[in-house]
Amino acid sequence: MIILLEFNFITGLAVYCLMQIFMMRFFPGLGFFKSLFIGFFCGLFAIPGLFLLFQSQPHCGPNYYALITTNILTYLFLSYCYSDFLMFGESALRIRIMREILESKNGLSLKDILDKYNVRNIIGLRLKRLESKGQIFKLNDRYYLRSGILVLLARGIKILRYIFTAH
Amino acid sequence: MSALVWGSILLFTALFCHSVIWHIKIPQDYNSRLIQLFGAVFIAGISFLFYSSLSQIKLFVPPPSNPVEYLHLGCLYGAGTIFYIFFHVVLIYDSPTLLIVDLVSKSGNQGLKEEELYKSITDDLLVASRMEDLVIDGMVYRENDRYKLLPKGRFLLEAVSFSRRLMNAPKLGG
Repeated sequence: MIILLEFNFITGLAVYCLMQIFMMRFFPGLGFFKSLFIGFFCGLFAIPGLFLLFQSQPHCGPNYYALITTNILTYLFLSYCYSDFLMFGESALRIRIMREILESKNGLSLKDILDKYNVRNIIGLRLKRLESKGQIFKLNDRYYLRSGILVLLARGIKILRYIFTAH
Repeated sequence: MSALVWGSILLFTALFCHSVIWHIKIPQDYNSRLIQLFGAVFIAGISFLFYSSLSQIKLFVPPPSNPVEYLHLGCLYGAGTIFYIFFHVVLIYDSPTLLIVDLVSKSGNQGLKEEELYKSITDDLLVASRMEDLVIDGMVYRENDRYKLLPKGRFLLEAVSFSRRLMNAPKLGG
């Protein structure tokens, strides 16, 4: 039990996965992103919760808090990977193209791929999605920005890209 | 405490080395290079901590004192490494959505026509570059100008399909 508590992030991750799958299977109306959100927070709260429930005697020293923080950080890292993997299956262009290649008899040429996945199709779909979600709006054939959240995200990624890859 | 502090220091060291190397030249097979780099930093760091605990060198935070603490450190570092390998994809690929938002934002009050988007976002940028990376990652190979799937790509597709079956989700996402 002590070892389980020491590596509590595993429990947190299991709670996240199980809750997310449970939500998708039994409450499909909630949608994919909400299931991720609910699963993630259940897993996150399970970590300190289990420490409080099963720790036989109260430890309040810095080592105790460091242990919880280590577990939470490890959980955050791994839960991002899980979410990212699921989102990869949900929307990644590479997965869609690889599936097309798998289903083709003799492989696909770049031209075949571009016939279906070209910039006009991809951008057209994304524009519609951004418009329906209220991020941008169209006026006199021109697109304007409505929400700044995605701009902040885009700029944040640009900064990180510059720090880590100099691009 | 030592696992948290030393795990974080090792992760930041690896990120710093990665930033320096990538500023000089971005390797083509960046995923395997990242794994090698993070692995090398981990081995060097653990050796240093082990050596300092044996020779009783005084550090500002004592090195891990038992195997469980080393395991904690390893888990934190390993999870951080996997996280960064996943996150690195965001830095390498241009997301179509974020590209659109960035371009529309730059156009300001004038707005942006759909046709103007296609001047900045091209098939090469979105599709051809991804195909090249799939080849480099060993997911697909090219034979007579046709792309075909390799076992690694098939395995990835199987893993994605399995996760979607578990969720009772349709084969393809939205």
